[in-house]
Amino acid sequence: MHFIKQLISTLLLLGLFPYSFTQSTYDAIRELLKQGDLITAEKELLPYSPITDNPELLVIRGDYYLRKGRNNKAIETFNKALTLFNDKKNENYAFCLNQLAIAYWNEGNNTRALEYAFEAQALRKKLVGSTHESYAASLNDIGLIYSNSNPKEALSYYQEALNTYYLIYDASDNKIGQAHVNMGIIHKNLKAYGSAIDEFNQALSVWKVKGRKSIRSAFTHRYLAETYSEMGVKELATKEIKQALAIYSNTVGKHHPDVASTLTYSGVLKLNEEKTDSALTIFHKALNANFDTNFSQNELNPPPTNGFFNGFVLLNTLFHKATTLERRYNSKSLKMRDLEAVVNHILVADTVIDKLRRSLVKENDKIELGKLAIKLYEVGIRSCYQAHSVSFSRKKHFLEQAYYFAEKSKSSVLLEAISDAKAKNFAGIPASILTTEDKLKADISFIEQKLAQKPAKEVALAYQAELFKLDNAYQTFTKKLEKEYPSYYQLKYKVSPPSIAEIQISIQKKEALIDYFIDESSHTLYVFAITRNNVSVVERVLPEDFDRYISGLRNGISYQQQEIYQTSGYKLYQYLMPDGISKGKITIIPTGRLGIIPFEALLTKKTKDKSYQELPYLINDFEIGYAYSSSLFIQEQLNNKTTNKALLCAPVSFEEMADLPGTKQEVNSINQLLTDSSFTTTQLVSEAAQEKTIKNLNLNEYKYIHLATHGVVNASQPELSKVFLVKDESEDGELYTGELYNLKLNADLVSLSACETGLGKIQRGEGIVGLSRSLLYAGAKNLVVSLWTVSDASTSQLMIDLYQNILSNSTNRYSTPLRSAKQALISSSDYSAPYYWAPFILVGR
Amino acid sequence: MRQIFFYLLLTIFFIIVSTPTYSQGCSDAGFCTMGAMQPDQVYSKKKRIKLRSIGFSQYRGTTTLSPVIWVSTVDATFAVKRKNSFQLKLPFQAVKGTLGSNAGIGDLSLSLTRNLINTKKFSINGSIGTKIPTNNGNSEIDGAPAHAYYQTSLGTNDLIVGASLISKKWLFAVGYQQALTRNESQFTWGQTFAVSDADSSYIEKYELGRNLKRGIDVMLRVERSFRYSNFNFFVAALPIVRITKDKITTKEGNRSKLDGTTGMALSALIGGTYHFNTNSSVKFVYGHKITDREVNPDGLTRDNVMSLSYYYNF
Repeated sequence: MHFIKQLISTLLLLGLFPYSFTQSTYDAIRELLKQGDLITAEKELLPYSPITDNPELLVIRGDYYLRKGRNNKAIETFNKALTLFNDKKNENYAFCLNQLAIAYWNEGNNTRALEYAFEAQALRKKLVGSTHESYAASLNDIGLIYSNSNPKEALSYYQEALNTYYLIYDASDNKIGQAHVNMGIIHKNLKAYGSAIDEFNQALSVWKVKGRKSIRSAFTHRYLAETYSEMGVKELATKEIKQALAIYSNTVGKHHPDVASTLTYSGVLKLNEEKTDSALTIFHKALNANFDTNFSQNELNPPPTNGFFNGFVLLNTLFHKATTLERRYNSKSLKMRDLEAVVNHILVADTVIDKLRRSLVKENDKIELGKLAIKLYEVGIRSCYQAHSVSFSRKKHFLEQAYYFAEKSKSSVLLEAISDAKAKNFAGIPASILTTEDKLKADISFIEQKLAQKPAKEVALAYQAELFKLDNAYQTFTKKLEKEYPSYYQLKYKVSPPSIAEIQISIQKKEALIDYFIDESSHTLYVFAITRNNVSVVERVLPEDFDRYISGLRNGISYQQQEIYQTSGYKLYQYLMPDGISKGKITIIPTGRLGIIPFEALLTKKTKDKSYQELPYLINDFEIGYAYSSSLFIQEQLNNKTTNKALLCAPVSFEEMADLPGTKQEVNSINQLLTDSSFTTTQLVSEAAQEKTIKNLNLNEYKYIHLATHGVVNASQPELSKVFLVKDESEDGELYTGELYNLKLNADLVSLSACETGLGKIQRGEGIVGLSRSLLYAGAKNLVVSLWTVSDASTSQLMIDLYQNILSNSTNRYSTPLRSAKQALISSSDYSAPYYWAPFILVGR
Repeated sequence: MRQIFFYLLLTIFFIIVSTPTYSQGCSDAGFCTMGAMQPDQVYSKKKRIKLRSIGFSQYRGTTTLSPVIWVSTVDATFAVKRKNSFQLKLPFQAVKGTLGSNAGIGDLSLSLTRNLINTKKFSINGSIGTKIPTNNGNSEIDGAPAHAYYQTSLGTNDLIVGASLISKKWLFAVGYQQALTRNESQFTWGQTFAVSDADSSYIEKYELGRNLKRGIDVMLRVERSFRYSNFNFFVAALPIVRITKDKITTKEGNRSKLDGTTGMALSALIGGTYHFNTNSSVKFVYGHKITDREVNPDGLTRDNVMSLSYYYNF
């Protein structure tokens, strides 16, 4: 093979190479690939292997890689082809866009995949109209990309594609078969099993007419197996999976991502029969199938962290193998080596997750990956905790490992974004280049925000096309930066959680970090408590209705129903507070819905018939702060800014919301306090609080930024969360999340005395995605935000007290003055109920 | 720190067991190894230990007098509806001492155990059971009634109840055993020929218990467990207090309460289990007397006991 390649290279150099890559060759190989005949296609492509600058050849080569399951190579090849096309208005170019979309989809890059697929669809519509095979193919592929995230949308695209195919082809055409399979999968996912089986059988009958058993029929048998299994017909499921594997073996061999995926499903079927050892053997085979060659015969060995075909399939297999090893330990072996193997498999998964995350471009896709990742980390934490409990000599090792997994499951997207911003600073990238980036990011977030508002279809298409261009430009820009500034690349991906020892260095005496993780599959809460000299973890099984206590606490406070509040407050205290923490300072790293409760308002004793002033609040014992993750906790050190500048902003009157007259007095009072303490202040009140003015300020000069205004959080679409300012001729007066991200802050404290600014969308694996997160990314070191709508008057009093305490207090923490301000409200006659003081929380220290 | 604590406990235990003591110990009429009162019980919220088991154990006990007792026991447990389990124990007992030797099937133990409370941190189980005698407690050696030490059966029907609280680290068990009937023991010193006249002071150490009805026993087991992946061990203290006096028939034929039969018998125990897997395990227990009651006509006193068991769970 090597000799042939060398010979061809020599002939090419001498201009004596007898082959030229023509459109007819392109069509012939593309047809072979369509038929699934990868072996002949590979032979046909071989003579052209030295040619690297022909876009059509690269498209075909990319398609070959795609069908072989080599996604990374496919993406690289397609992207190169796109840059080489001179004529960007032909079917070959559209095909390239479309196949690249599929490759991105395979990698979990769904948002990017949709952008490419829509681009291909639009181009094909222009080129051939809407009753052509290639246009129908685009519809089909868009359906495919939607299949997991939006099945109903997917079904509508598939149906449209099928209708078009029936207009063009006879009923036995491959395309029609493929459309039936795709619709069958959606029906299966929607649990319409009868329809799913009909669709799959129609597809099989199409391929039977064609007389050849291909990957497609294997794929169909695999999904038939899933359908039968979900229906509880085990025998038929096993029969179908065997057929699928036999066809794969004859067509693609033993090493292919589809083989890995099908074997994994076969292992799941075995596991359902309680055949743990057989299932393990199959899962191990599935892992081997995801690599070019077998990596190990020893079933306890995890796979290597590179060289795999498909990362998502690998993660799925690793999840099943790890849970099976865990099950074998508990139900049979009791051998530590099984638990250790679980941990080793999750460590490999952790590296694969990091690699995949780097390959994903859009934040939504990264968050989706986070949801899969957290399932793996759950297994890791559970097993590490168990190993920690039963290990004779390695208790500490397993505790640290459990904590590592718990931390890796938190705010990884935010951490990566912050790390990216810091890397740019450290890498010495010139300001002019960063300005270009700022412009691109601002444009992208503007379009995304517009798309989130769900405009009319035609308008949406125009935005999508624009976003496609901008995303491409941003990707090219980032790649260029990574190439030209290698230190940026290294720093950008240096995102690893700190060790327990590193955390302990930044913890003071009488201070503790309390970090939570909930394993949803076993309904178990893990509470890690780290002090300067000690670390512990406890496991608490949560009742099915645990969320009831969270709602009870919030509602009990909001509606001032004291009995409900007291019951929930004490119950939550019992579940959430670890034993043995000395009174002092604590920083909470919550998880999931724990992020929406104020720990300050938990009750340390069961009480009855006491006034709000007398209740045993946790805040009586502790100064409390919050952090998104331990990495951010140790980064959230104060700036020690010497510039005594503060920005105070209050629009006071609003068009569509209630006016906040108290904020004017609040800002004036804080202004007085600051100027008395030699601060230079910028005060933007009423009409002066324009969005444009704020954006044009040099915001990174301010030590304190105080925004006294309304805030709205959109829990389903975080990009539409916003803070209200005053509009002008160029800005709408609504500072959206995306715009907050792009502010350049360097403030010690940003306080938002607005409504519900601490809330957002609770994303598994990422925490609360909302305004706070945007401000942390923008550079705020500490934040005071609120968890629910608050009274205007009490808020003003709290904020004035807060700044008074900050300025009169010598402590370098904000938790101390905030606690004092809250305690002042608790002691007052009007505002002692937690409704008034509890919602304001400090993200930071 | 935990390891230091463990080694400290271990050292204390060995100091106790290696110190010569003149009292008797391990005075147990059977309830200490039944249902909820057993030593070294399985405690795991995650490990799926099977619900049925059959065990074979070999026991050796020495007394402060000459008899050495060997017991082979078949111990079967069956789960009934997940929360309940039924235990059956059938021993074969052999004894050899200066006064001769004897062997035969021992008393049958039956018990029903129910899991009463199950939390993440602990479980509470309760047991009710009985001992059914396999003879009248008056078998003979060389034609003469043998002393209780040499009997393979206590010869009484007993009622047993008990409960335990088990956590990962601790086991606390309490038990109650009451003989409902009396045995038919007719042992008297003059009928025994195996010792010479010169040894009559020795024979008189075998306290008389004609038609003995044992007093009520209550027990408390305090056990500290050290649990690891597939092995665990424990140290324990086991005080058994006889709260009512034994009753015997006097030479004159009257029923009489026997002084000195009440009081505490305290034993120290150490042991462990190695699990080959969730199906199969071996268990070792060693017990050593610390104190015992003054008068013991029931023949239950042991200087030390040792048992090795194999359990198969399925």
